[in-house]
Amino acid sequence: MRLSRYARAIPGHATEGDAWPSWVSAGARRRFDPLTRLACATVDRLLQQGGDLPPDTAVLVATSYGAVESTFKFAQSIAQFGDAGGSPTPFTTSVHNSCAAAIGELLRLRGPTTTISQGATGPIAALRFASRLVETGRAPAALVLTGERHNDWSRRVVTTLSGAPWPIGDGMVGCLIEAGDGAGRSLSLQATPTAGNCLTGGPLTAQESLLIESCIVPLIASERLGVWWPGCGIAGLGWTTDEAVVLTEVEGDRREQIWLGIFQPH
Amino acid sequence: MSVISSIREPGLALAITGIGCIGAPGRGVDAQRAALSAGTCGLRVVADARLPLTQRVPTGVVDLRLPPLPSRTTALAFAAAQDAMRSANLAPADRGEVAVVVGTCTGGMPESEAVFLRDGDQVVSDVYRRQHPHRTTQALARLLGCHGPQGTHALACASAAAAIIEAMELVRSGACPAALAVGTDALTRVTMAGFTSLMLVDPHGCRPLTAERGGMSLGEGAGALLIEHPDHARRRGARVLTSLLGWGEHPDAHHLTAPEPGGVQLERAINDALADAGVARNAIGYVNAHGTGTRDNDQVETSTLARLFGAIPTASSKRTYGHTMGAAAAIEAVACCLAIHEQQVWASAGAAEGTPLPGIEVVRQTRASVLDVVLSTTLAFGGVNACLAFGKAERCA
Repeated sequence: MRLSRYARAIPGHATEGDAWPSWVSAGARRRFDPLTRLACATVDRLLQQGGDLPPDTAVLVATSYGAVESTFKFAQSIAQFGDAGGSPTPFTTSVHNSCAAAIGELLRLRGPTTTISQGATGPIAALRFASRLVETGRAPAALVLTGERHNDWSRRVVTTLSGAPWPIGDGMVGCLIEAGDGAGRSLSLQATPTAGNCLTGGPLTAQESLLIESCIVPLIASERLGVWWPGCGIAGLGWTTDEAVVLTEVEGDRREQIWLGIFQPH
Repeated sequence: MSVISSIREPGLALAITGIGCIGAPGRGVDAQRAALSAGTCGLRVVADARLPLTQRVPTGVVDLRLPPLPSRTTALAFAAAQDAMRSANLAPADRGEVAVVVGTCTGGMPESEAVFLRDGDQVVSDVYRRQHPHRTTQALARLLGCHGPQGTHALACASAAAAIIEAMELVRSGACPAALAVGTDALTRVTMAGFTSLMLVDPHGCRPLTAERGGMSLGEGAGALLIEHPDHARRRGARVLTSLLGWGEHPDAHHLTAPEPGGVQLERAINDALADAGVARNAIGYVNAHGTGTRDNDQVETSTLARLFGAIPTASSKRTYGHTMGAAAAIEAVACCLAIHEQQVWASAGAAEGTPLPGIEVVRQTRASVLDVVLSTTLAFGGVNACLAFGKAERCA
């Protein structure tokens, strides 16, 4: 398995953003949630790297809050007008898999699809399942999108409840997983250079703690993105072009790891 | 060190050794069997302060004392999962490597929406910690002592189908010897109001697979399956209830809320499940249809099934449970297991009082049947089409 294309979109950052790509119609722009807009911007960058995706590409989205702006709007509509006064438009786009469905609809992708809501370990859970779909021939490729697009309410909730010392931001990473040799990074869920079983929970080893600090903290400090979202760790791949890395994610008392091998340029 | 994905056995039939279910008919396998056999309507108009709309429309509410857990969705899941573990006779000491994969739409929304609708958007409550779907997965893993891989799928009404599919692939890949797949959802005001806003709720209670159908009825509940590698089940002397043979999933890529009228991708999902199961169409003796009772869903589903299988015995259990959304495919997987185990095709609740849709045979009364392989189909928001194939226990021997 290899991670053949990689892109990220981070709203508000000087060099990146989430503007609508040209292939999204005006009607779709009006309907879709900001999370989907961010996904479209990310996918647009992937498409620029190698053209259209195979029609049976799998689509997997990892997100915890999902289309939170739509959920918020719909909940507000029933708070204001009562249960019989809910607005149907934000309800349809509030469903957790609306982002994956929209990407599939826009690009006519008909491989297996799902939306994974696995907290901070969502990206690895999505990469794991995506790899399996490709290696068993269920899909010729798998598009993995992972990230969050908060609104003011959810940003306030996360900031307050997490007590995180850094600002809560938004962002999305897109990866294309394919089989065979070629450009990109090899991707393996097997042996990792750090100790421990990547499938079972348990406290972090000192080595793993160091790994997390060396990956995520400099990412935030040096780029001043002010982000903390599922996918933040994998977003660091953009800064590591020639070294093999282990991606480690932690959710509660559970850690997940994935080995991302040597980078082969296009 | 565990090795993931190094052992590839696509097409391997897996053993279902434990099942659990809770829904409007009650908790436990006996309650489900009785309700399915009788084609019971489980829908009721319940004056429930949590759900103002249910005072006016019939729903499948679980009216039972639930385990005292932080979210109703988790409590429903735990009840079903606990029963599945008990029926599998898997001792706590043997659960260490078991994966937990959950499908849910709502997560802890019943509790968080109550705070939001009462206190407004300026109050940040600790309750919001519980709203994420993976909190249910974490809770089940902790409470049941399962420390294998975890997965949490929020794929609308196909969430449980996605959970069962990933659980299958985790076991097939060798990532774990067994996986607990759970679908769970509690009713919420947002869900009720949402489907009402789309004018998809039948105020008289759903009548799936009939010409008189006028929409869906919502419900809540959970279903759980313990899925094992057959070698693991054999080694520990487990009783195999049924086999889990295959899956297929293809989205329409057509519209967020409307199915593609031709059912082309649903047909592909069914064909993929048959290929994965290694069975021909004529091996299928019964189909548990998604059968929500909406105009579009039932039309596309029955015409696709008729095209593939002719007059195949088909039933929907939505009038028995209500549409339990993220739980539906797991509850219906339990119904399929029971159908094979009991060698019965279940009646489609409400069909006897209506005009069955043409092309297929809508089962009007439960009857004995020789069943080798049965299918369960699921359609969902976002144009998702999924199909699971179940077979007799001997198929994974």
